[in-house]
Amino acid sequence: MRRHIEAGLEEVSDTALVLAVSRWQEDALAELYRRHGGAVYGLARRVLAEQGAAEEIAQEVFLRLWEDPSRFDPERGALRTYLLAQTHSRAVDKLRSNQARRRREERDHREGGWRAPPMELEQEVVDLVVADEVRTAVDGLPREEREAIQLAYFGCYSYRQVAEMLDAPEGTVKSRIRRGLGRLRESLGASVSAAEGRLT
Amino acid sequence: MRTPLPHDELRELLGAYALDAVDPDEGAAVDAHVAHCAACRAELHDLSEAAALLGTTHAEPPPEIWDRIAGQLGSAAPAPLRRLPAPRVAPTRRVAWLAAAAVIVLLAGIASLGMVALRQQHQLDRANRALASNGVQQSLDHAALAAAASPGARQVALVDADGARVATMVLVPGGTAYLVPKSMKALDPAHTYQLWGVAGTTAISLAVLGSSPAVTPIAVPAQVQALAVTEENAPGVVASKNRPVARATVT
Repeated sequence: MRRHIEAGLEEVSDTALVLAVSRWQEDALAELYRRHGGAVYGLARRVLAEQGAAEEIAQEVFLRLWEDPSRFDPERGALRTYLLAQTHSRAVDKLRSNQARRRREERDHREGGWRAPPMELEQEVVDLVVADEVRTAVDGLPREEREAIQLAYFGCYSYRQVAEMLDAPEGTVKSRIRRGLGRLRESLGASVSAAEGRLT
Repeated sequence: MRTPLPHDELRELLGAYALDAVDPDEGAAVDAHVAHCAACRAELHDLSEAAALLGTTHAEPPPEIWDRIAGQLGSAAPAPLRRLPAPRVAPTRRVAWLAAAAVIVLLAGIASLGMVALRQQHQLDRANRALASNGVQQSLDHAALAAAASPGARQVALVDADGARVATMVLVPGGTAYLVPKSMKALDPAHTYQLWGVAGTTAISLAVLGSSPAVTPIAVPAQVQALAVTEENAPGVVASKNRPVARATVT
């Protein structure tokens, strides 16, 4: 994949690359994939049971970016935030079928045996360090907020389903999610800037 | 006809909305609302960033994914005229936020060395500002980020017998190295991971990593040619009798 990338693209901001994508520059999309493909695929893999379904989502997210780059608005946040939101929302759609959810539950009971081929390392360290910090911050949340958030985000359950599972009122679950996310944003605020690192 | 939700109720939905955990009609109500409520829009922005952080992880995509994407890019472009061997016509697509842009960096050519240095300094500045916040582990995490961004830094993968990456070492010439665990399964408290530097036929203990390793600063002597990780009884050993669970070549 390296061969597709011109020297110098690594120093260009995400926003400028999306602009280049809007001008049909494939190398720009390749560089964005190099930066964000691992995070997009990683989230899809984490949430879904099947590698095939996760691969489809990763493809869809980047093809969508190619076909409609104007949907990303840099005023509303980082490109990474946008791409992960797209990824998660597609994962939720795929999980709507009971079959997909059942397969995923089966996978959770088995030992995870998926191996990635060793590839380029550059983007990985930042993401892994951020993931480490996020884990710490999530562990620091009050238990009810953590549980509600994990069920909703990684379980891809609706707040109503979470309320049933936790045997709590729906209103309570909604506000736990909202408070917990607010706390995370505050405590991880500095990491957001440090981890982004590139000019956005 | 459905009556619109009161503001309080819409606000309460923002968190669940950020996690894709609302019903479709609730989602539509939130969409409609944030279009004209700046306060809720700002809160949703923050909550969405928190959601993206939750989802931050990394897994190397199989190479076929990019091949499939690249294969479909051609069909997304407008078809050239069949009769003439014309070069591919690429109309500009409208990107709404471009209209107001005064200065946008375009792909004009090779980035200058100055820009490279600026970006790295930018990263270091941000990392240093972040270091000012409390929490030792958070400081180490940021120090590792700063190291990875510094000139001359390189990263080596510590892989297991199947070739799966277990951790990454960030190596900085003349500086502190950092171990960034990726998939090191937690050991019981009676055991610990230990990192060794191999020079010739000698293995030197570089660090005892504990049973659940986190980002760790390591001093790596210049003569080390390879790294190895073993599992040992706590609190570690002077010389290992165990086969490495992961290894990497440094030179």
